[in-house]
Amino acid sequence: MAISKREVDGVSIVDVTGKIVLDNSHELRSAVRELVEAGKKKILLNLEGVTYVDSSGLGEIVSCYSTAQRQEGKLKLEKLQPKLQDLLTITRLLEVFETFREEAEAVKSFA
Amino acid sequence: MDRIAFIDSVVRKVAIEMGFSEDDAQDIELAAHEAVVNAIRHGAPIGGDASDPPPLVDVRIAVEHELDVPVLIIEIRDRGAGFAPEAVPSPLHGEGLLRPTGRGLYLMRRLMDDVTYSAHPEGGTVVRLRKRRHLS
Repeated sequence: MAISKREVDGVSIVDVTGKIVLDNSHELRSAVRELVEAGKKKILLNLEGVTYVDSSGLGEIVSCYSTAQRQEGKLKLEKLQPKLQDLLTITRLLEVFETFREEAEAVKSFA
Repeated sequence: MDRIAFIDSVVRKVAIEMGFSEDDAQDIELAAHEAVVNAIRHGAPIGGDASDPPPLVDVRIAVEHELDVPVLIIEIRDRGAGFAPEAVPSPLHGEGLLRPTGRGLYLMRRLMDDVTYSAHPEGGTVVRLRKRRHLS
C-alpha cells in the first residue's frame, strides 16, 4: 500500500493505492491520526487506487472515521472501486460514510 | 503475509479455472482469505507464546459436482481451541457497525453459499466454505 497526502481548498486528501489488508492497514490509520493531531478536521480518503480490501482493511477505514470524529472532524471517501462499494454496502458501512465519485464534489461537501 | 497472499492467489486461480465469473472469483478469494487470516490469528494451540512459530494451518481445495453443477469447496483447518461463531457479535447493528474488527465471519457468510464449522478429530477447527458455480 502507498499513501500520499495533499490539500485542496482546506481539505486534506489522503491518496491510497494498493491493498488495505491485515499486514498494512495500520499505516492508513497512522496517516489519518497524524492529520487529526495536526488539527486537520476535513479529511478525504481517495480510494481510487485501492485494489483489494479485507475485513481488517474495512476496520481500519472505520477506525480512521472514528479518529476524525472524536476530534470533531469529518472523514469522507471518494472514487470507490465497484468491489469496495459492494463490501461497504453488504457491511452497511455505506450508511456511515459519505462517498463521492468526483473529487470536486467531495471537496465542496466539506464547506 | 506472503503465505496468505499465496493462498489467495491459488484459490482465485482455481475459481477462474472452474469457470466462476471474475466477480465471484474475487468474492471466493476474499472469503478464503478471511478464513485463513482467522485461522492464523486465532487458531494457535493453547499455551503458546509470541516466540512460537506461526500456527499450522491446513488448506484443502476440492471440486465437487451437484447435478452437473461444479461446486468449489475450501476447507481451512487450524489447531486452536475452537470458538463459537454464534457468539461473535453482529457487525451490522449498534456498536458493532463502527467496531474496527469483527467483519470477517460475516463476509465469509455473505460471499459464499455455505459456511460451516466443525471440530477436527485430531484437534482444531475446520471451516468449510462452499460455492456453486452459477450459470451466467
